[in-house]
Amino acid sequence: MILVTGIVLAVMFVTLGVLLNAAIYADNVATRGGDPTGEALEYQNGVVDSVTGLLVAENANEDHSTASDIETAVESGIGEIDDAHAEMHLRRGAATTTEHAGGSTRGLRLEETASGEFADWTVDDGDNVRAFEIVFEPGSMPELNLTEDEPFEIDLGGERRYVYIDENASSDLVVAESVGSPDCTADAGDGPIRFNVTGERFGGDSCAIDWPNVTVTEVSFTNGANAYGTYDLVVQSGTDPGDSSLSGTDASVVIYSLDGIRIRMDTPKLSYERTVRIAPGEPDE
Amino acid sequence: MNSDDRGVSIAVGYVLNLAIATMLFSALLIAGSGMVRSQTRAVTHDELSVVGQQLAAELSGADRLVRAGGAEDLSELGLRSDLQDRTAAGGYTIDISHDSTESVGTVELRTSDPEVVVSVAFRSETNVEGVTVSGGPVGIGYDESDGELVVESV
Repeated sequence: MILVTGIVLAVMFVTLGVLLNAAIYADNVATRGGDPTGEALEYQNGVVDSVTGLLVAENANEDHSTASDIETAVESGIGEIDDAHAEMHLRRGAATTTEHAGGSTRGLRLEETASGEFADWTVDDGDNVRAFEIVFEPGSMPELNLTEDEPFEIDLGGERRYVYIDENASSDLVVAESVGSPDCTADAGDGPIRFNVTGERFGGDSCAIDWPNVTVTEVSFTNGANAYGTYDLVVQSGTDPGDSSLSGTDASVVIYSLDGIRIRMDTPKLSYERTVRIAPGEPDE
Repeated sequence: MNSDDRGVSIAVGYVLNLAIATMLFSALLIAGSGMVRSQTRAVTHDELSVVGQQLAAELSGADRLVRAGGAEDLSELGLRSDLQDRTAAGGYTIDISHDSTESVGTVELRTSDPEVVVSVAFRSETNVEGVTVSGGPVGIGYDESDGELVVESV
């Protein structure tokens, strides 16, 4: 009996030892790090940031005179971005591939970098707008009689906004969807006032325009003589920069968006592939 | 007379010793087996909790990958989760359910003997197919046609 009891007790002790081992293993597993999905998201955001910076830089490069010049430079840059990301992630056991597998969309960059009255211009075939920012200088803008004068108008097709100083409330520069009913105001005595149209900010405060739901069909400035300052925007458009409708503004060809950047990551635990579209400064959808 | 007395004393003493020893050993075995059973239950609960948390984290991670840039531009998603095959109580099952209106789901893990059930909640904006699989490594993928995450044993 003693022998049998001893054996049974021995088995119990061994069982308890195995259970202790299982508990230690479970706690060990619970504390293991490594999040493959996090690394994939980090890679994706890294590529988007890198290609965005590349596209902005090549669009701004004045050595490029045509869209295909920009495309060639961007393709070359994407190859270097692929190499850099592949090397970085390979150190952590992940293989990555980055390539431009899709097309690109042409656009126009319209800007006025020297302070002055705005010219009137129209882009008839605008499909989208990004990075649209105007810096008004209220001290050089006329105070308008709203029953007689025509205020400066920004027309995006689906939305329009008027920006003016009302002579009856001359301390404010206002943004209005309809003249006489200000939606956003800023102190006209504070110096230059920044209106980030696509960022929906006016004078440092929120100024909703309902991006990204605005349907852009054409983009135009009207009564530009009643505004003063500088502006910069990129329009998705196939219009030639030398077109007469753009004669009053500085226009140059840019790549509006890269439409098929293919990214792929493979690790022992994860296979992930998707295409991303790069349109720097475009409001999030 | 004395030898008769000693004879009776030895027999009685032997029986008494045997009885006491039996009682002690029995108590020891009963207490020991109870402890082993309770410890098995506790360790199994810990293991299922860890497995459930792992799977819930992987499902939420897969959901983030689907939503990062839109499901329509996702070409491939395959995520392998190396869950353990057995627990201290033996094999187990994984039951996954998801409420698309609330965007929350539950991973329920269950062993049969002893019966231990652990539920772990997870959040996923992407639908997750309701399924029951046996414990062990699982693969998480994305079904484009149904627009949902699917889990299967691998």
